[in-house]
Amino acid sequence: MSKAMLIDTDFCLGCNACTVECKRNNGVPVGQGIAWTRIEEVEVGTYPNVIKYFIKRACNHCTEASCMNVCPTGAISKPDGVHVVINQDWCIGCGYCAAACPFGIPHFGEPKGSAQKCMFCYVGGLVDGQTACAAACPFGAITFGERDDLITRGHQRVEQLRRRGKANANLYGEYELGGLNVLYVLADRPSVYGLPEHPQVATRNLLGSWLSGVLTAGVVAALPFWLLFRRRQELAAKEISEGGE
Amino acid sequence: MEATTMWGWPIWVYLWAAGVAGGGYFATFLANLFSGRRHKELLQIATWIGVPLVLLGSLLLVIDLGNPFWAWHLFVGFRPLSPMSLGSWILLLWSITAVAMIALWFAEAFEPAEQPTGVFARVASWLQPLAPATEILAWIALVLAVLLITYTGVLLSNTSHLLWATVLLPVLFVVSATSTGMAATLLVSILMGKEISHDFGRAGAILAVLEVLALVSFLVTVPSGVLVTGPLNVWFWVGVVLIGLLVPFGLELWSLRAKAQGVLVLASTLCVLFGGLVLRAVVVIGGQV
Repeated sequence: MSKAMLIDTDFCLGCNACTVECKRNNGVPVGQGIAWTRIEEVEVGTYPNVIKYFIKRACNHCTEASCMNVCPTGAISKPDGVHVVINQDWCIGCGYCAAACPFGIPHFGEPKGSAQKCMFCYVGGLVDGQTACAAACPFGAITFGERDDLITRGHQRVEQLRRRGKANANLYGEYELGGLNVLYVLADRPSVYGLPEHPQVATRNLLGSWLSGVLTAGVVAALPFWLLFRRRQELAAKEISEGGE
Repeated sequence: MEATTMWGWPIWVYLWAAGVAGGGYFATFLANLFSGRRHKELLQIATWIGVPLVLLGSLLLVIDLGNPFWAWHLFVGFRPLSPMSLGSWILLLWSITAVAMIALWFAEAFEPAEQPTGVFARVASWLQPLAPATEILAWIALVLAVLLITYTGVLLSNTSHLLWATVLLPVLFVVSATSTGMAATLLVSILMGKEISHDFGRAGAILAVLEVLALVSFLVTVPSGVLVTGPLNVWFWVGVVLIGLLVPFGLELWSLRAKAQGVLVLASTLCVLFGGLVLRAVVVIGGQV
């Protein structure tokens, strides 16, 4: 059993109470372009048939965490085995986690410094027994709880949305990347919200990419040298032996 | 979702520099090996220019960090799953090996009679008994050079940027590193007034063909519109394809027949080096658009 969050986008009105409480609770700097969580607006359709969705953007605490795999210093870890935390006193700010994250979440401020993202309130501590954003949300759009319970609840909400005519409603995060620890009730396809339909672990081709490069060097790029310089050597050897006879 | 960080010019200049360093060593090692050790001087030149290039590249990497003074954290642990961790160790070990080889070559060639009492003479006399180790070091450096040029592609391909996330990127970067590295070595040796074997022109032409094949297979497997038709298309077609591949291919073939061979090879090396730099630039920038 592990703690997770359920983001119910159908309940989110984009008030940014979560953004503000996250900053307060975790001491996130203000005015440096840093936000461990933030709200993004998505507009679908054309006037007069427009729907506006709000989606909370923050780390999804993937079970198969690309950022943790690629981090060169070990600054990214899962202290409790579930939630992904960046040790900001060890992170060198190389940006690899930002390039690897399937959701584009880790980011840098100005000045650049260490990578920034949600730590599941590991840094600031829980507020009233839950994450700061969940505690702050006035609409019940962010629920903190046991992951299994949230999945059950999420499926119920998706059913409700479908009955209301949202045929594409779905629960996002149950299986993606080994299971996200932030789940989403979406009223439409994930791509509508800017979420990847089929997120993949950045290091899925780790061995393949090393092998393809090394084999290219050993076989393909070495070929012209083997063809040309070996032949020249043989010609020279032949000339010497013929000259000697 | 927008890219949250930009890997800017220090990164693509670094990828190019590391490729030139490792590729130059790789190419000249093979030429020397297959020719029965007749190109040792080129191998030495490649090693000589590789060390400052790797140092320059590493310096660019460090200044691009958010916390540059913590760069040493890279060498506290060894994390083989992280291409950047492995790459940092490869850079460090290749540089150390190359510097050791340069020192041993120096000791080997040193004539004590010229300067019997100086510091150099003492260092050379310490090192001279170790000179046979150069052969072993040269093979170690070869392995590290292959890993180094592969790593520049692996670094980018293990991300979530669609243009980069393919095993064909290391293939492309390895071929490009070999040809740019060879070009840099030839450039320096021509400037030093040395004669260049026609075989290097031929090898360059074959590498250009191989690079075209690698480039085409890369472009058809990734969403490459940003390079081919998008905002970077002029840089791609003029910088990478025309100046980096077609022009040097023509110059290399021409140099096999022409009298002014040196000038043509010189021009082709400059084109190859420029094209290799633009290739790194458009791939790094294009992946983050």
